[in-house]
Amino acid sequence: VKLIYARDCLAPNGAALLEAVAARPLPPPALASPIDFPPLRGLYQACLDRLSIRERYPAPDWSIADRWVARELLETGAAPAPWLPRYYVTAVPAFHAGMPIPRTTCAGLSAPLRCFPARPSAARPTDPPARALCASVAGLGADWDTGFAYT
Amino acid sequence: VYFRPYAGDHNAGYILLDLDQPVAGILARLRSQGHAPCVVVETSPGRWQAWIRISPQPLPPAVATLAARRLAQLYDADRASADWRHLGRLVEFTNHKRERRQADGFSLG
Repeated sequence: VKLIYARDCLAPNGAALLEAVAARPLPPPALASPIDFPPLRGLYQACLDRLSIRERYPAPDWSIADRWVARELLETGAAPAPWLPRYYVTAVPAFHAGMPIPRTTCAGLSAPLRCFPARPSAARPTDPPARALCASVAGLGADWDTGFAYT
Repeated sequence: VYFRPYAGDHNAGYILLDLDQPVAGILARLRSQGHAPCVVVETSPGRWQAWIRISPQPLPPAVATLAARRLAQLYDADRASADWRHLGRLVEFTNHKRERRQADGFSLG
C-alpha cells in the first residue's frame, strides 16, 4: 500500500456537503423485514457472549466486533455465508444502533474461509433453534451443512 | 492492516472514498469541486483510497454516511464502501488480498 498524496487539509466544500445532506429528507423507515428480529438478536448476543467481547472490551469498536461475530458465525456453521449480509443489514443495526455493516465486509469474510478444510459435522455446534432459523431465513433445506462456507 | 480515524460512536470528520477505477484527473476534479483529499493511497495497482476531511468536528453516523454516499455518487467510487466507519488500508503495509498473493505466500508490496 503506497502513499500517493498527503496533506493536512479540510475540504473547502466539506461544510457545504454537510449542509446538502442535512437538507435531504430522511429516508423512510425501513420496511418491515421478513426476518424475525428477536431470535437474530439472540444469536448475535450469544456470539458476543461466547467471544467475551463485553468483558474484554467495555466499549468495543463495533465494526471490529461485528467482523468477529460474522467470522464466528461462519466458522461454527451457525449461519451460512450467503445469509450473513442479510443478517447484518437487518438484525445488527437494531441491536446496537449502529449502521449496517457494508456488504463488502461480509463478502470479504466468506472468501478466505472457503480455503479452510471442511469440519466434521460432529464438530459443528448444534443449536437446533438457531440452525433451523438460519435455514428458514436463507430458504435452505435441513441439510444446508453441505456446500456452505467450507467448500 | 486497516485503520480509520476514530471518534468513538461518531465519525471523526473523515470520509473514505474507495476509488477502484480512478479516472484520469480525479485528484484535480476533487480539488476543483472543493473536496480535496488529505490522503490518497494506492492499495494495489490502479486502486486508490482517498480520505477527505469534511469536518473538524466529529459527525453523527447517519450524517457521515449520507455524505459518504453523496461523495461516492459524485466521483463514481465504490458505494458499498460508503459508510461512516469504513476502514482504509494503512500505508507501508502489504495488501494480502488473495489475488495479490504470490506462489511463495508473500504478497506484492
